[in-house]
Amino acid sequence: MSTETLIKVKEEREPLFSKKNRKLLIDPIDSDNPITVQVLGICSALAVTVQTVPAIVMSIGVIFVCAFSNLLISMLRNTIPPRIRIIVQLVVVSLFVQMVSEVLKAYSYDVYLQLSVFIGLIITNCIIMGRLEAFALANKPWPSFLDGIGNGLGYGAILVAVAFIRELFGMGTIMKGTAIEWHVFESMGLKFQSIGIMAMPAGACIILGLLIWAQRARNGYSETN
Amino acid sequence: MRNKNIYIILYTVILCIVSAVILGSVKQVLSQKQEDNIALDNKRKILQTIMTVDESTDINAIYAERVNEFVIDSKGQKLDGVKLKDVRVAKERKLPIAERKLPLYVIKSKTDTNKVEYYVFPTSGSGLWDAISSYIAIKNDGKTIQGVAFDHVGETPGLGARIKSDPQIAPRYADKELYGNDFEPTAVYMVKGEGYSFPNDPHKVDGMSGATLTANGVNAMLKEYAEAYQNFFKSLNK
Repeated sequence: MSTETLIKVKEEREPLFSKKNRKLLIDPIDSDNPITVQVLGICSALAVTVQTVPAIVMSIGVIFVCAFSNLLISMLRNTIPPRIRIIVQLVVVSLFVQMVSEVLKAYSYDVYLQLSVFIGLIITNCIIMGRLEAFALANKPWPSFLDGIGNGLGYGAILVAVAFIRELFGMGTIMKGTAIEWHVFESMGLKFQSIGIMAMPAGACIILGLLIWAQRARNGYSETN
Repeated sequence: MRNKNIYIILYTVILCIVSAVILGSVKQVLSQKQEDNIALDNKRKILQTIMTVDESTDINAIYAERVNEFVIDSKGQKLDGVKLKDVRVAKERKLPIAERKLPLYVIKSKTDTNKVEYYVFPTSGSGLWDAISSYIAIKNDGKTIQGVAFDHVGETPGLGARIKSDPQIAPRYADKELYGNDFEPTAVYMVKGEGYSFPNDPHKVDGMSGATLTANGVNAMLKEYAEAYQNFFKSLNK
């Protein structure tokens, strides 16, 4: 009896951004990154990283979907029948993905055309299903929401980093398609020679491999340990 | 309790209804804006074939002032009672040419609104991986190309996708001729390999290195639609 009260009191006192909650938000960006450490969500990381702007939009989409489906699943976690929990997760994820798709179609049609099929494929993004299954089903809504944002950010950080490098060497530009579009090589007076492989998914595979190598070397992470 | 069949069934049904209602209302709220976007995008593609369109261009105003929409058949006759927005080019393509409804955009001169300056028509075809499409603008002589705007669904980025992404591709078609001297549908042929120029051959354009299969799709598409619109353009010169 006494331990029960103790736990309850402790939970009520926990601030919104306690150390534990901050960890949920920040860990997935580096030391527990869903792409480079857990090696999830590789498919879209290879496909949507030709240019920076679509990569940013894709990341925002994933952050939104991941955070809100985590939140909703966590709120429903005590009502979801265990036998059909994957189906319930899929319905919830599809709901938010379709919302992102419709909103993009209405407010950012160019990006919608560019991303078209990949927005739909957020539904099958392993990161989102993974977080729902591993975290949201067992935790309270607020930590789940933070966990969703954190994992979305971790995914987005890698996506944007890869896209930045691919755009620079594949097209010779930075932030193509925005007001601050910059033709790096031309402005330095150099003739730009595109590296063809950077425009192809194979280029992303190489960049991603190098990123994983660099990050693991720095953090001293190894699969066997 | 949560493992009882009745609970599972009810849970599923309610979950689905709630999701459907939410999505339905989101769609309802946004649909007008989405349709406007699609219409504007089509207008932009049409105007791109005859002029440079940038951020400052008032697409809707220019379109309303200069463009008339028609639907014709393969004999070149105007089809009354068919609205252009109901014609789906990709769907019509499945029919034999003689049965197709063919959209035609007639673009009037900027200065003299009685004078027709260009004819623009949409095309649809198959690239290497997925559908390709285009708008072709023909000058009022009925055979010379003013400009083209290509689009595609899934051609290889950096290779076949260049028909849309590379601003150097479409201008290669300018001033080429879609028809021969007697309006035979010679079409325009994109060659294999890149780096050529054909100043004396009005039916050949420089190719795209590494994207010959996409170019083949483009060639087949242009030839097919040159045939479909042949009678119409022929009748202009009678």
